[in-house]
Amino acid sequence: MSAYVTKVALAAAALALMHAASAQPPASGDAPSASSSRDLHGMWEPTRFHVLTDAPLNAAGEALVQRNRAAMDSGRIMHTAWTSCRPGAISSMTMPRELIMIMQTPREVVILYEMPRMIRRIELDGTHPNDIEPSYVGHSVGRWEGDTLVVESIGFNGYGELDAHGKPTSTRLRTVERFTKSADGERLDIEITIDDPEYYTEPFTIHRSWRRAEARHQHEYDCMENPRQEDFANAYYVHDRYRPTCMRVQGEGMEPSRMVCRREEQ
Amino acid sequence: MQPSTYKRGALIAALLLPMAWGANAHHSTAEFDYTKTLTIEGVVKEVQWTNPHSYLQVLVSTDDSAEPEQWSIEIGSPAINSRMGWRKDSVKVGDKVSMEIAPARNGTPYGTLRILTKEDGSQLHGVASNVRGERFGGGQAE
Amino acid sequence: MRSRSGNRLTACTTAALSAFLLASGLYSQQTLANESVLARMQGVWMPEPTPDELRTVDGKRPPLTDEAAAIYEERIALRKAGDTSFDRTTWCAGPGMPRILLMPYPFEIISSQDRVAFIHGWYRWFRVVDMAGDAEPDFFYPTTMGFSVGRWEGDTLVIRTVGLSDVTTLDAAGLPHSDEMVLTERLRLLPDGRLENRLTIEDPQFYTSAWEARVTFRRDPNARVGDDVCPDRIAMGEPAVEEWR
Repeated sequence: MSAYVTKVALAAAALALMHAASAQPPASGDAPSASSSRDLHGMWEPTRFHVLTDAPLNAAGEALVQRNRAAMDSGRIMHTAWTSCRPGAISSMTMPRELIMIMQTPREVVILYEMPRMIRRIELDGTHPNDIEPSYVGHSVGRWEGDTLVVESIGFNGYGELDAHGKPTSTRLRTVERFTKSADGERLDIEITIDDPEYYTEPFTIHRSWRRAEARHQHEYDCMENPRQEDFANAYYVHDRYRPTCMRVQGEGMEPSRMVCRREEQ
Repeated sequence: MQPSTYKRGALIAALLLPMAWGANAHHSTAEFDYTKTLTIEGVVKEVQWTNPHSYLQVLVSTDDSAEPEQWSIEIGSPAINSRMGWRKDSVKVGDKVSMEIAPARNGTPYGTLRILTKEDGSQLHGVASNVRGERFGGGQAE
Repeated sequence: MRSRSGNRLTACTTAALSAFLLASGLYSQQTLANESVLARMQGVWMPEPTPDELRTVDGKRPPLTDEAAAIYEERIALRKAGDTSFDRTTWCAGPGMPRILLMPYPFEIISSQDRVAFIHGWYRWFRVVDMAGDAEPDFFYPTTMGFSVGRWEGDTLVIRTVGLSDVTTLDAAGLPHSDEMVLTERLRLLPDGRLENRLTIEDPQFYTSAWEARVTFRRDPNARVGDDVCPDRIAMGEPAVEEWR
């Protein structure tokens, strides 16, 4: 038994030394220490305003984009999933904005977005279920390849545009994101491969990068709080689903500041 | 209250560029005539510090009418305006303001703010502060 | 290593390990205890029903100022007449804190290093409690969920939230509050396994004194926190916020 106790003492010493090397207090579960290259925990923000420049649209995709362009050229305001306050996870990949909080447990990586407001759950070492209910955020599983977190997502519902030109997505959308933390731990480089044979001739890859943010708290984007009439006058909806539901109708003669949805527009 | 560690300055320039994608061009060029600048003066009736767009409702008196006309002026959004120095209470109900706006194309009492000047002379910029020039085509209402 | 003295070995191991760790000074007994409580607070919780008109722990109406009482009475009357235009949740705007805890939707507690997150099953709302930052958070403008910092008092997680925008109501019936409200929550696991939250509201603009309310949460094996998209539900004619059944 004394040999066993010696082993335990040695193990405890090793454990204590490991934690001494870490700047962090003991975390819930076995989350890696801050010095670990596999620790993505923290507050991040995009390094710059990322724009989607190109995508290999096929004929069907190009037709939709042209339809969108024609509507905008005729002076109409285009509504996408984003402006209809139901953005798909694809928007958080192509158009990251503001502060992004990443939390990490042994079982999952959770990404909390301020804008658009969204929660993405990435199941570590998980598998996609056979019966996924399609959703705006899809189903994400992640695994480590060296120090790169590879996240595969499927199960999207087809409502989610890539950019302000309304480049479409379908239920056949599959994405692969590769998250790699820089050596100094201050940056996250993300390589995103978008594959949607419904609208694109081939998979294509874009790059995004986030840097550590010093802010401790996110603000919020309450997209639906003030649905003014001006937002829906002369509108063009990429999908019918994006039409607003008139919930705050004001009667005749009400002052414009309170007019949020005119019944006759429905 | 000024957050001490706010480093989003780099984004401000991008956000104020005309038609930089999703640069909150807001109702964008479909809605407003950015070739024009109109100056209106009035009293703030309401402050809507809201998403997706923030507005000031301003009562503008005209000489030839007993009733002031209510103008809806889009100023930006909380995320954008806070980076330009606005706070929720920067402008209050009852404040007398002078505003340079890009007016709505349809001639209604509606516009987007370039610069607001308060009675004490201090100024606040709106989301259309640096947007000038011809229409580029419509855009996304962000 | 199994043997007839297996239990004794396990106890020996634990004792040796704990003693070494405590003696090393790296972990206090309290930190280990806090982590253990936090571990048991994690996962999905379902709020237990609360009345539309929130009551204090003494079962009374909160101590509203005269101005606040007039606002509240008007909203109660409007709601009885079928007019809920004072309630922003009806058009899928955010309910904010503390109201989101009073709605019949589950939430999930997830912790990671220096943060504790509450992820709600209503329209993608979440809040992240900072366990390590400044006691007075920096913010540009108030929001519906506010800015939360947390600390431990024994086995109770104490969360203090400021920067709560006055656009929300504290309960379904329309209790008002100002931007200056300070919300303090005391979260504690009850012996029967439920989670208790004692909420203290301090808001001199609308309440003549600080007051406390209590809400409890239970485990529900069928409850899931998914991606709820309120505009899709109201488009189908469903209410933005369900009533308590």
